[in-house]
Amino acid sequence: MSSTLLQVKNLNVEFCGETSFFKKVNNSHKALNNISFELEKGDVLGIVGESGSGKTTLARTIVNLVKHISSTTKVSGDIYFNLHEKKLNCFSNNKGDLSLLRKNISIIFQDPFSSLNPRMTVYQILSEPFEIHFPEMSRNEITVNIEKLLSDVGLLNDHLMRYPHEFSGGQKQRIAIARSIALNPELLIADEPVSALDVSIQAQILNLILDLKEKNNLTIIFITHDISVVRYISTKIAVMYKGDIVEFGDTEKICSYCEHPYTKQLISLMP
Amino acid sequence: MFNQTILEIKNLTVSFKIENSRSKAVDNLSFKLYKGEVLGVVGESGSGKTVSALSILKLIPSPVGKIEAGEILFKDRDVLKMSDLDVQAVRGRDIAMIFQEPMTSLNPLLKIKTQMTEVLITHNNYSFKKALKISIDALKLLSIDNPEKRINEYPHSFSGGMRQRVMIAMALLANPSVLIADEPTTALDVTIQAEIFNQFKSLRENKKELGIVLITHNLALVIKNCDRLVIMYGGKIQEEALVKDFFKEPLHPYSKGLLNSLPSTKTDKNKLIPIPGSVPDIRNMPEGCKFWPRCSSVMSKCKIVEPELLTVSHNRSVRCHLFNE
Repeated sequence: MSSTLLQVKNLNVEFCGETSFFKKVNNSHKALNNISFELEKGDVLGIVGESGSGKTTLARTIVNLVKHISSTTKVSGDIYFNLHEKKLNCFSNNKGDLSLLRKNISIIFQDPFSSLNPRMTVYQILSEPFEIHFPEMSRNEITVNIEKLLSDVGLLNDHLMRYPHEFSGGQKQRIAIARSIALNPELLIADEPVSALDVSIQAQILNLILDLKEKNNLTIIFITHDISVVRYISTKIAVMYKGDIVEFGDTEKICSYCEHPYTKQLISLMP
Repeated sequence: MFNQTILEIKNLTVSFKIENSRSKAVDNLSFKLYKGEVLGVVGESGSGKTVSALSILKLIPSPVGKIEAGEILFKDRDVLKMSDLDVQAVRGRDIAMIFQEPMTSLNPLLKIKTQMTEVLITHNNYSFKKALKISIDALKLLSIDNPEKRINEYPHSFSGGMRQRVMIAMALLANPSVLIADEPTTALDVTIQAEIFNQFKSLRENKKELGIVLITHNLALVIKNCDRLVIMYGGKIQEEALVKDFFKEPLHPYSKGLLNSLPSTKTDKNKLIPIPGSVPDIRNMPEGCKFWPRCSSVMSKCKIVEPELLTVSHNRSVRCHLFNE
């Protein structure tokens, strides 16, 4: 039994650049060009593409981090998120809907060094999602939840009172992962989560993400530029090139047969 | 195949001052580079690969970093004993270096032509006109479109891949005999990375004498582009081998671990086997073998005595007690 979790329809994002006081500068840049795809529950979608192809913009638009009404960005199209028989519009301004979405879509950023607040302890970082979304939760309940999270991602309880700078890159990424799965989200977006890590640590984090997927029944969008990582982790692949999805389909199919020249090139470069 | 040594590093030890104590980043490192070969230096962050490359050109920031001991023999002269002026003459002319980040290694305030011709004017005493002509030819060789026009531009109008190609062109201008490339493509896209390595390949065909040291953390690049490799961990060489032998049968447990933790297309979707733990901090290196806390075949001996680098066969050595019989 499969059901559609995420629907992206004709999504366009355009960055218009600064307009100067004296002249109108026309350097608009289309970051996403008419993107449509659907994601089923339990899928792991790997998005590959070179820098500037719009992978990160797509991720940020789905979590509603791209301002869609502003002088410098233009966003059009629809993103729907199906949650317990309810269809939510990701661009909605309704506070209740937005809070539901924030609870159910979470993101891990590329750089664990800058995505954790250096002035907060691990305990504060991990308790924040609970404080915001479950204000009625007591301290004790939060602590119990956090300790469970820590053991899920392979950290120790002694680590709770430490600050991010006391951890290595791999451990920081584990903290970021713990934070992103704190509220038991439906969809997890991982934006190059292993690119900044050493090879031996990369494999640890990839395995952790796969274990958590099994345990929590997650749907994952995994963004990377490394196609061998995608082949290892994902069930479906979307290849992005200059703001378009040029290839979309099952991982094994694309790895054995692909049409677009860019995909061919990527696959021929695999180790 | 390769037998003429062009660069030899002997017992190099480099230390850094961290919080009032000195820690060794590179410890008793020795290796040779032969004429015409590409040597891969592989290691994770903190393994000492960049520090050893910087010491070859005496670029270690003093007084924080200090070369404690060792020799770097280039054409039978010790670079470390040369005066600053002599080293300057070697840098760029005989031994050239490409740095990791093309974004920061070009001067943003100078036009590409100023930066490129500087090399030839300084080292070869060429006139500006002659230097410019050679620079343009060098850019053409690295397939930069319309080099006559592009050379008048500033670095910001070049993309990352193009900047790295400018760096390579610049490094090769003075016709060096050794090229040190420190993670030359880490900041670049895969397709551009492939392009850069194609350039390296044609370069090797044109300049048969050139010895290249390729420093990287990416084993896949080494398999495709190198003849020989050394694996570094904790400031020491753990394994040294010809590339084809290494991938047939890695000896050191760390090398095996590295290969197992790479997702590959050849094997089936088996689960990756990561190396547990993380890279040790240089202030806090373990006693004995540097790798034992993460090693799967650790013995009681490993925790006390550091193994010696043992020559197993020709061109092949490994630092592990498993082979010490």
